[in-house]
Amino acid sequence: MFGTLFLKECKQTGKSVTYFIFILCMVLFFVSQMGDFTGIQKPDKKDEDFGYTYSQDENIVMEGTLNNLVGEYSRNSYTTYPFGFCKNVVLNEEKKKRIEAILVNITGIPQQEFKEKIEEYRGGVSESISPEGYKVIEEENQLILTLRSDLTYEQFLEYMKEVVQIVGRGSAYEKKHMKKNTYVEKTYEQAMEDYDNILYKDKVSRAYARLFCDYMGIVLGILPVFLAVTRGLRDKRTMVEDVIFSKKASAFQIIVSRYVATIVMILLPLLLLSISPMLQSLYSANAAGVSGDVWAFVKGIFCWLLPTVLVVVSVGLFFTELTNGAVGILVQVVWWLGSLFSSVGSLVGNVGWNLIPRFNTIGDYKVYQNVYGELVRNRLLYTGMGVILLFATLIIYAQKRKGAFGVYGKILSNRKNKLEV
Amino acid sequence: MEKYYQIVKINWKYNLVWHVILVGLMCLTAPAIMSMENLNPSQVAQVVELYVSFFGIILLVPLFLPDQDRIIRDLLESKKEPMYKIQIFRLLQALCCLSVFVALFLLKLQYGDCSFSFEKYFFGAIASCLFLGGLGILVFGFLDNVAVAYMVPIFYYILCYGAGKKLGKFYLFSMLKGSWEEKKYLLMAGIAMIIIGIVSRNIKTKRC
Repeated sequence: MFGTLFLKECKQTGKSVTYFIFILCMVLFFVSQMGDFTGIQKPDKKDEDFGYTYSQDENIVMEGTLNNLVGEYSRNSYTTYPFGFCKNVVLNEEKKKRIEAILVNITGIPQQEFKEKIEEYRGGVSESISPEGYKVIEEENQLILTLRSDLTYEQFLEYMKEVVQIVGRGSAYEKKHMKKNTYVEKTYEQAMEDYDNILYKDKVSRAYARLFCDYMGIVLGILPVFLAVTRGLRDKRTMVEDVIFSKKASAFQIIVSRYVATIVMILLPLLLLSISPMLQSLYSANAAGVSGDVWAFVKGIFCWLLPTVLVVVSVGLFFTELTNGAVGILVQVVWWLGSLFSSVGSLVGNVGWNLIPRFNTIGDYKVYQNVYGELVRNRLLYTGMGVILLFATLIIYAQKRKGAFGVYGKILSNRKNKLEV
Repeated sequence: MEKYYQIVKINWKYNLVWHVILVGLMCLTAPAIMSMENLNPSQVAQVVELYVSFFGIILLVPLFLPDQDRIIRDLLESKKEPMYKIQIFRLLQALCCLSVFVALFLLKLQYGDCSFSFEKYFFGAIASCLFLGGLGILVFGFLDNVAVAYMVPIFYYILCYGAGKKLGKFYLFSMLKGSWEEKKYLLMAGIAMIIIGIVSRNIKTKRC
């Protein structure tokens, strides 16, 4: 019974317009983002530019962060990106004093002397508006403070945690964002290390698979919900809901076959799309003298992207059963926007509990190693959420079938209003 | 006049009000998630193009939602009043709400000492909203599928976010790059798509 239902569901999905548009969107996005495949190139000593990187040197990270904090403190304007949009935070007197105390503590400068330095610096700063309407800050003298010599990196991080509490999330003082204060030019040695890691640790294809998962994760964070909602609403539109309710198949068989069929139909084009970059990366690996990982893209799709698909389809089915409407789309759009914009500031190794983990680069193996544990926990959470929502959908469907929510089985609806229409 | 008032009233009560509440919530939560004070023109453009353009999808796409149910559509068609008139009233209602929300949002930004030209940004925001909303109406008109009607404009938004200026004259976030020319094309295309969407919906309905 389950197999027959599963095949029927696959056929239904395959024939729907939504599915064709879904595939078209995936292909368009893939081509626009990963259409140009440029293989990896060995750095040449003669090159002048090896790109940029964030310094790993704790002293440079601390100094960069300190000077950023001093600048923002003196202007009393802190730039944060709590949801990806720029938010300037202006502190009140009490909070300003707390930041001042932190600065005095980490620099070791006596408070009076610190205040004089800030006042002197402020006197030389002028703000004007350019003809284009941009704020232009001109400094007469630069204010560069140094950290007290006995301050450890761990102590510094504790102070910065306090700054984040005062200023708010998404500021440059969060540990994951602090590195942005230390953008430095890559050396030849660093470029070579990156190259070797891509070749020998990532086998080339794994690095490309991560990039593929990063891009496709963006569209898979939203598009599957449309398939799920369309499928959920189809029974209602074609008025076969009551007929299906009366069939012998259990609620588990109906909903789970529908769910699995939707997942399989989403994974099929994804696997097909991965063939081209997989072959190109294997060729690139061969050209560089290593054998690439043939299963890198498949592993990426099943371990990285599948949890996203599971939870997004579950959201679609759950809210469609709950409301008999397209509310699932709105819920998912809000979630997707929040996830996408909250990672705008850091596109490489930004994982946390975000629905869309970001790794928008080829290489940076060390960053990947650092976030690997986080990524595994993140993916397990969304797999679990997907399964829980599926069971919740099952319960609702089973109850509707028993007639628990009235004739039309619509839970969140005012029946009286419906009759007035 | 009474019957037009009834069309507007019923549409408000059973269709538009939920979408208006959602956009209202988006406006109310905006100060918590983004800065609305002392922004430069580029930052205002970021807020307007990435956030406000969603108002168009939310308010315009559900134009045919009340008559998506075949029984309601058959009932409406049996009435003396042609369907396109009802749809035009719904559209005007949605456009009024859209203009009010965009204007209020920009006034809030202006009140927060953000430096930008109100007229230019109002035009830019409305053009983006009409384009995305029009795209949804066009798809809804042809396919009679509300999920796809939301899907296509949202995907276009993603495409602009990722592919950038490759979309040429129809690039959605041109104000961020300081260019206004694209907005004229977006506005014209938006209006054209709305008209085609309504016409195709009514032709299809008659054939059915």
